Amino acid sequence: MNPITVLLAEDHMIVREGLRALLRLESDIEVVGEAENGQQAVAYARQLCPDIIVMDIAMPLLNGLDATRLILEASPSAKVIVLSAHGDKAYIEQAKAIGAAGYLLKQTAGNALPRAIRAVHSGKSFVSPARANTLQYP
Amino acid sequence: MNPITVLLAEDHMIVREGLRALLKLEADIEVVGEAENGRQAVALASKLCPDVIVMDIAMPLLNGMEATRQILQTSPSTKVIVLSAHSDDAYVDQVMALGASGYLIKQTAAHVLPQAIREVHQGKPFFSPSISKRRSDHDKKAKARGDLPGKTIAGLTSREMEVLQLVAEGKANKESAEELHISVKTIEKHRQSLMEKLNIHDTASLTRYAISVGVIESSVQVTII
Repeated sequence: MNPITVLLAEDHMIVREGLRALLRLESDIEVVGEAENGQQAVAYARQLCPDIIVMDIAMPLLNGLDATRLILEASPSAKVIVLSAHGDKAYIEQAKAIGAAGYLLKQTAGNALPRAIRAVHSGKSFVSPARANTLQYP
Repeated sequence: MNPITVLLAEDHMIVREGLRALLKLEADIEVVGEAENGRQAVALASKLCPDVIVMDIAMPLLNGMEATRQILQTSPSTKVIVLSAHSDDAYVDQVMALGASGYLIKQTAAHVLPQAIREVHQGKPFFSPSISKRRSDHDKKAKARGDLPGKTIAGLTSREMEVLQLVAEGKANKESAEELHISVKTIEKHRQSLMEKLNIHDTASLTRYAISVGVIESSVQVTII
């Protein structure tokens, strides 16, 4: 089976490479591109036609929500998972309203990312737990 | 040789685990603990005595700057690398004045992180490449001015800084008292005192002030359409 192709759009390189390192552990997922702002994300989405786009919201030049809107206008079947630091209902609703297939909180555990990618790829929607798991003291 | 022990303090779990995954590739570095806010970082730093602490600035309950100050007060030999989204001089200055050993902006490539950890472990300062170019001049000027390490803004005490953040995060006095394990009365006293020092007398203005000096980040990053 072909791996699920993913475009990572996140402006903080160290975070983006961290996400990439997390996804490298998954044999059924392949990161095919990285974008560091919304404009690049729109361009790469068109160029690479990834199965899934993981999209940070706060990015320079063009934010992730506007980028998502543009991508879905051009190719309505694209699947976008929005990555956000904010768990407020208003943000989640807004992402849904523009057609994002998933919403993942940055407070979520790293293993939620491949789960979200697989869920969204199989046509389901995915919203990460409203409350982040709290860390245990070692 | 023993590996360099590292404590990761970053509130976004997915980011923290990403950093951990990156550091797992380095044989000479071992992540011994993870903290999701500044207060946990302070507690784990004294419990685990890591060689190096990688500290995000914007964290709930206690931000990375105040946590760094508290950690270096009790154990001055700890090396702290601050991780920040901001690269402006004012920000870097504020952090370095606390006595941090390194400053990494999140826009930096990931392979710089282990490099930074090794450098500060050897007692050398480390800055993201884009910042280090500007630094040497700047440090000389600061030294000439006689800037003291470890100072807080506006002469607030460490406790007052902690209370300021909790107030700015919208915590009621009772919640703040529980968080800091002190009485509501003491919280009120600190609140009063910091308001006098800053000459700010209402909560909304205090919150705006806390955002403007980087004690908390504005949570509204995108406009709701």
